[in-house]
Amino acid sequence: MQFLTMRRLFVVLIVLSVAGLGGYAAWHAIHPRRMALRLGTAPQIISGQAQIAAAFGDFAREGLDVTIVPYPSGKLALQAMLAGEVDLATVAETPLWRAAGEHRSLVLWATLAETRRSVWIIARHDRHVATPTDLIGKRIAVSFGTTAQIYLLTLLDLYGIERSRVEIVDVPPQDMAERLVAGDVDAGCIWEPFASKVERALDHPVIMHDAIIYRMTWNLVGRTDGPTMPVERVLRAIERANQRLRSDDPRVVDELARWCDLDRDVVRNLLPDHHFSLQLEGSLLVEIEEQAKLLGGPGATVPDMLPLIDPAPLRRFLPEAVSIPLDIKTDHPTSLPDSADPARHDAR
Amino acid sequence: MLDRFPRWFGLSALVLLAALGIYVGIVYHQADGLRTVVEASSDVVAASFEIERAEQETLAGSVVSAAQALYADRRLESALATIDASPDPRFRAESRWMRQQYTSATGLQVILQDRQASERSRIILGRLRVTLSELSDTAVMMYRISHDARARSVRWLFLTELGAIALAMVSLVALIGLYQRYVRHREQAERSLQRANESLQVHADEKDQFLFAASHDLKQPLRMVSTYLDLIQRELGADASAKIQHYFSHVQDGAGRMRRLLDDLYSATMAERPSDHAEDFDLTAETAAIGNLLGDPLRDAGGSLTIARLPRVRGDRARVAQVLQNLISNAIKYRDPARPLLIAVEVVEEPDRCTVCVRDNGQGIASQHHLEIFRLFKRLHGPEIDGTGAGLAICKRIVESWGGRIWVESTAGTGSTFFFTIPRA
Repeated sequence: MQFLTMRRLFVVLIVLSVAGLGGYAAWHAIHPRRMALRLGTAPQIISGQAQIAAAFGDFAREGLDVTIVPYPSGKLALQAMLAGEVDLATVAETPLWRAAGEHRSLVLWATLAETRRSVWIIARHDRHVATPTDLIGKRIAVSFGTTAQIYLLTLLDLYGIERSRVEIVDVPPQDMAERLVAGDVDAGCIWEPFASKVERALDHPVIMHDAIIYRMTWNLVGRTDGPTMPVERVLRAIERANQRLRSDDPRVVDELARWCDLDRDVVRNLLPDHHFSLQLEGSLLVEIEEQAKLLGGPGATVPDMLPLIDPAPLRRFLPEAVSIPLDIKTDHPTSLPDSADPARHDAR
Repeated sequence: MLDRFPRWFGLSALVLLAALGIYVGIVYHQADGLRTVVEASSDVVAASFEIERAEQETLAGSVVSAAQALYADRRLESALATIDASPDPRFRAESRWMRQQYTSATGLQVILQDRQASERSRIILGRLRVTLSELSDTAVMMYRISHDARARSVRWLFLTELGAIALAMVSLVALIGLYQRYVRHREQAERSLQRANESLQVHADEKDQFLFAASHDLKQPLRMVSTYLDLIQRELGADASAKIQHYFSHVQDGAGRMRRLLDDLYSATMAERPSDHAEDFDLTAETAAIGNLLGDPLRDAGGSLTIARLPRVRGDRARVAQVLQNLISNAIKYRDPARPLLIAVEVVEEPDRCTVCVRDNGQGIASQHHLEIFRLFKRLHGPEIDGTGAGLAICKRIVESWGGRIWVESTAGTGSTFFFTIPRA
């Protein structure tokens, strides 16, 4: 009798063990281990696709566990990425090409969005600035190495204002409102969401904007000397987020407003002037070339961006989005193709 | 041939064809909408060639040529307007973005026209070059999107057409299969019906033979009974007591009634048999002859018979006469003593037949008896009115023997109208 009971107990334990192992395997087949990534970016409308993809579960659907790490500017996000604080960064084209000369391990995978309504010049009303030519003799704050600097220089050149006739000072975006309120500078060139903060901080500010002179792009970048990234899956998630941003979903507006710390009406007003679409276009190279000439003069050295561009992930996923006239052959793969992704194998 | 197709077959085929038509129509409508956008995006690409030329001019530093090249192609605006109307949001998004770029490029071109701006043309040309490059890239992207959409649409259209044809063929085969099955079932049903009819006919013939034999053969012993009853009565003569004579009268009445029943049974049996004495004759004259025949009882009843102008008809003259005689006799027999009897024979003419009406103002028949009065030996009255209840049943069988129909419209207390149909001559 005792022997029979022990045998039964043994059988039950074996059955329970097999069932437990089977359940564990089935659980992992259904819920594959997500790949953890840190993505650095600046909280702006144009950079909202990463936050939307995270908030609406688009990254999770691709088997990614992405942590969005906010920085005051894309330039700082890029620097953090180069320092290894984050795995990926999204950044405007200006900090990107400025860093390209020094950091040849940079890689650009795709332009995520672009806009012609991103940067404003905001002046104190007591400094008598009504038009761009009124900036002559004024002290203008801008964050160096950012798109705002490019915008400001383009505007000055367009209106025939020699740079020697204005004083341009380097001010971080987060300090802009404080410096303008203090009267330390007469005007500032700044992007959202800092522009709204400056506008709120000043009494009757003068705001100037010229949509024809500058287009800002927002790009996904990484490093070739780091671990290989599941870029195609990141791009898939971002494309889904871009579709949400192109829709009129009020939940997206709410999330963007929360993310950028902006009023919902401001977001709703600015959103239609942003073009959320994955692409790799030749005009990006032309823009970089023009910006390099703008900062360094006609004889400036234009950084060779071609070796830093990897169109393969986007081309695999969205071939019609790649119109950049290059066919780069890299010795080192910068991204994982879908089939070579270990996490994807896990999912299967 | 077409009348062999059942109603559901034609209806199903029509519904199927209509559904397929609507489906293919929708597909072609969508394809046509896409074609418009594709053509418009081709215009955009054509315009982008001009834009690229303008871009090259900016590289060469020629402000005037760049401006001319940019303005050389006005198709861009109309193409963008067409794309704006596209239901595809991707086209609308790209179109909106292109419009912004185009506005930017034209804005820069306006600045270039300013004489003072020529001093700083380098920066303006640079920005124009960037904008034109964007415009060109977007045009190429739009072309690729539209090309891709068109390719997918053509594939989808092809597959849809293929599917529609396959669906139509499968449906047709299914319908033909169903039809064949229906025909097979119908033929089986027809054969079963025919067998049942044949069986019924056999049984009816046997029944007729039986009734004929019974009614005919029973008459002979009945006649013998009646004859010997007469002889016995005659032998007894005045010696028979009053009681015996009373008994004799009952026996003779019974024998007489049985004889009449056998006669009617014989007539009813014979009435069902199709006649081979069909001829054309004047129904007015025939009805008038019957009126003369029934002149005495009609006069005794104080009634009158009105005969309308009746057409020539085709049938067995004797049988038609029997029907009319039965109906007019009934009108006399079941008259209403409260008012003078009026009988009218009229007709409703149709192209190939006529409906004869025998109308009276007699007692009338309650509606619940309108059908049962045509049953054999069905009587609605007691012995106070003489009869066996076979007259109308015989009429019905005679009328049905030529494929006609007989019915009554009547209300108790107001009279009756009997109708029967007969082929026209």
